[in-house]
Amino acid sequence: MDASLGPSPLSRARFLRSFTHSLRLLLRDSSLLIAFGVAVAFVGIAVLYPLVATLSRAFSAEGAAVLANVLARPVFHRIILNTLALGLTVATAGTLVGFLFAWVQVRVAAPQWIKRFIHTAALVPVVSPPFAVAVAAIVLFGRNGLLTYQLFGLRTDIYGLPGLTLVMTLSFFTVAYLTLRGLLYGLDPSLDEAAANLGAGRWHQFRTVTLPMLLPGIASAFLLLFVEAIADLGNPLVLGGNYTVLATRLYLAIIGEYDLTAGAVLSVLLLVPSLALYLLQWRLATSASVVSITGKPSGRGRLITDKRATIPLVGGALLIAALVFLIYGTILVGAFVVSLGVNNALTLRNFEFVLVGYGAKAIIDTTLLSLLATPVAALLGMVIAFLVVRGKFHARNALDFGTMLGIAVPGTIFGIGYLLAFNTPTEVLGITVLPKLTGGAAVFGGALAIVMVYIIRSTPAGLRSGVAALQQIDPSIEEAAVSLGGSRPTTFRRIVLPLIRPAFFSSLIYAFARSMTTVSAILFLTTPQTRIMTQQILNETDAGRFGNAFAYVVILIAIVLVAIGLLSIFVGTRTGAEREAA
Amino acid sequence: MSELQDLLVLEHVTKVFESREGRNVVAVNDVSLSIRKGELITLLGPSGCGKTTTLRLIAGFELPTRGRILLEGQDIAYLPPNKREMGMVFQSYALFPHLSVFENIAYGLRLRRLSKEEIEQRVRTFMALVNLTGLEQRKPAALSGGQQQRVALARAMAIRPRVLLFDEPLSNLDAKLRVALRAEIRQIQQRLGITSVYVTHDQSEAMALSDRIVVMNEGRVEQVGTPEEVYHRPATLFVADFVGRANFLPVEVLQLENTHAIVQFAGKRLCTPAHPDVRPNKPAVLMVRPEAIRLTSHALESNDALDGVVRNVAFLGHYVEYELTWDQHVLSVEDESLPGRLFRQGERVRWYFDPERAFVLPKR
Ligand SMILES: Nc1ncnc2c1ncn2[C@@H]1O[C@H](COP(=O)(O)OP(=O)(O)O)[C@@H](O)[C@H]1O
Ligand SMILES: [Mg+2]
Repeated sequence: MDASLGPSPLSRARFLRSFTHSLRLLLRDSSLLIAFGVAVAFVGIAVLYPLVATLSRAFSAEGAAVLANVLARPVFHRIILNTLALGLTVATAGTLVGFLFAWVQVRVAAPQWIKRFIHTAALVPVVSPPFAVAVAAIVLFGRNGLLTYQLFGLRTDIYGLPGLTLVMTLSFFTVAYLTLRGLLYGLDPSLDEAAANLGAGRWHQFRTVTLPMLLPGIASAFLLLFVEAIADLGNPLVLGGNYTVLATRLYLAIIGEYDLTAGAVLSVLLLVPSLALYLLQWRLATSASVVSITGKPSGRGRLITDKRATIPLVGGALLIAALVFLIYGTILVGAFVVSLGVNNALTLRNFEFVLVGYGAKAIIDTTLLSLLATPVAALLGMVIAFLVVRGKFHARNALDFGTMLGIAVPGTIFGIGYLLAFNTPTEVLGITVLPKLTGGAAVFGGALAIVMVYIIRSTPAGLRSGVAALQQIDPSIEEAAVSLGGSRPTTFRRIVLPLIRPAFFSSLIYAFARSMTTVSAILFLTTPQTRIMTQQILNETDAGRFGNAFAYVVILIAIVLVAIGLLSIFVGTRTGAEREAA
Repeated sequence: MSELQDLLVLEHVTKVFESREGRNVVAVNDVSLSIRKGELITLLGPSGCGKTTTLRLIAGFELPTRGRILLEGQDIAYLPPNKREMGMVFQSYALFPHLSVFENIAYGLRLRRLSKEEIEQRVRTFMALVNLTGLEQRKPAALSGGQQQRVALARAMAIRPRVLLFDEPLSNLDAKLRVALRAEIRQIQQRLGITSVYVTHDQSEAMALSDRIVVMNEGRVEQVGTPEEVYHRPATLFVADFVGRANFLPVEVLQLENTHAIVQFAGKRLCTPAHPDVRPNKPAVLMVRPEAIRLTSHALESNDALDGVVRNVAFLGHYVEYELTWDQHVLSVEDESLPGRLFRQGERVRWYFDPERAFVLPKR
């Protein structure tokens, strides 16, 4: 009741007391304060400031006029509906595929090679730019499609919602697969056994025990896919045709019309559902972890052996996995022929085109900037995870949330936000803290802005895996190290980091793969001095030079795989195994 | 000024936590304590009474909301935990899983930049002290719980801490090992004269180990005393009840005589030791420990004995545990275990006790 009257003097006094207390604690251990300050400053500058710049432009008088205009025009209603429809279809199909894969992986008796095949198929999309699948799909299923027309004589139209759904499902279902697989492994098989003991049949058991336990996880995977689908720019650009969604309309506003205000307004329209669904997902995911982890994680329940169930399940998963490999096979083959389906003569011209001229520069720039961003993102993720899990200050949840915005907010919006925020030098209290980062004459040819975007897009994944890893570690281990005389930074370096090495390792890999394959967030930030591979791929696709696009994709995937291999050698995951032995 | 021998002093220390729902939890409430150089003092109390919080305040992992903590006369409130030179032994052992036993023990020594030889030598000394010689290269995961806790002990002692802190170090071990290890801890602690603060909820552990026991309840100190004082001369009903088992019998205090009180009990007058706060005509109870009660056969006439009926018998070998009903009360009795002398359930018996072994406490 008195909440509406503002904070009472009592709660204000309490707030002040706990604030000074936190401050005293922080001051005593200045390393925590410094780490916290650095993290907050980075998130503030690289994540929040561009968003604020976007919002303030969208809600300016000029923005309000644009918004009124947008909301009044039926064409925009169409676009919004298209966006939501795409989110819905991709999220539904992606969750189903992810569930099928996870279920076969964990619960169905099948030969090991089949499980490995399916698992690999699910992970391949992670290391490729998301719209590579779209380009291959045009070659395979388009009007002159290798499969549809040349094999079956069908004139199909791959452009539009069905094609987008197919392509985006195959590109994004990995998230659903990994989430649900983790949950299924975490489910205590004794629950099922208890149900079976009570006389429940397989199907009944699934409906009444397993499914309800998985429901929060399924919903959370669905929402994540939804957010990812409405945020995606690459696939709709390549395969949208007349099916315009908010992301492509936004792209047009910036690239075609140079209208930042319209871009900002459209960003807000895209931001609202993305953030709302993301928050909902977060709530679900946190509740899911409480529900599901009832015992020691182990998938050692009874496996399904009934042929009537296994054949359709395994068959379905195999078919989809085969489709994934067919698509990536198409990319690989397409890179080595003149024009796949039109002129199938072998050639190295595509690679020649890509490797000389600005192709080479794009490859080098992209790799270098990704290499720069990777350790920063991974380390920042671990440090923020540490602050979030072990910190005692009230602001830690805000820091967590602010960091997660880096991935919750569609990349395109960051692209616009960076243009709005960093097109002029950034000043705080009249002091220039950052030079001009974007557009012509930007510092380092815009490279700094690109690296910042790479970092903010990768840090959230590191943060989450760091949090998960730290929550497994008994805090007394760190306290023991501190009581033995180690400062916080020493303890972090010598005790914490070695213990969360698997999480650190995986976030290094993720950060590199993510940076190399990022599209939407950097399309507005590249300059003539800084070229990025994903953008070149998009250009080549646009120009219909699919062979070149495929060659880029092959090189990009090769770089990512080599990097993963090198990382495994230098960072390794031995600690994970050692810990499991414990 | 605190006395010279008081190494560690807590002055009116209070710790208030804000719970998740925003309510305040007073974990430690106005605790004052002096810990002498070289002694082992135990914080004893039920779960949730603030023992761990007190220990963590001393270690520096928490800051007091109010009050001061003095180490050798210096306020250490803003001395971070890694500068306090206090070793800590945890219930969960808290060994570094990625380091060998040797490296675990050497960790604090390396931080102190000791020479290689000195580290080597000191690790070996402390490993020998806790009977671990030969296990240097093992990883903690390859050790038993008891061995792990020995490593943790050696690791904490190797830095020659000014104060050694223990938080229920034996709770995760089985009963036999617990008894063996607590004797070892006591021996080593006395041999090296390490000032120690030991937290436990196990009163027999506290008795066996401590020079002095601090009994805590709901964040407050109920009593500070030697194990004997705490057991035989409890300061409060809570202490009497929590430390060991006790029968509380109704009495009326008639008058005081030095340390004793003349009380009216079951129609008789007794002269028993009394708590200093006991006053005539103020409500009081008589505490009688189960082992202070003697039983005789009902057939034997006795003036001092009272009638009772055996409600329950448990023959435990070295003694026999009875539950007697007497005048609407149920009494716990621990009787000698003698061949041929076992009272059956439902049997009528007589019981009595030496008034010197009882204690009168004020009723709050
Ligand atoms: N970090 C904390 N935040 C909030 N409440 C706490 C915290 N630590 C302890 N408490 C509360 O303080 C009280 C005392 O806890 P503790 O010192 O751990 O007790 P003990 O060790 O005697 O079992 C308990 O009610 C506990 O819930
Ligand atoms: Mg405790």
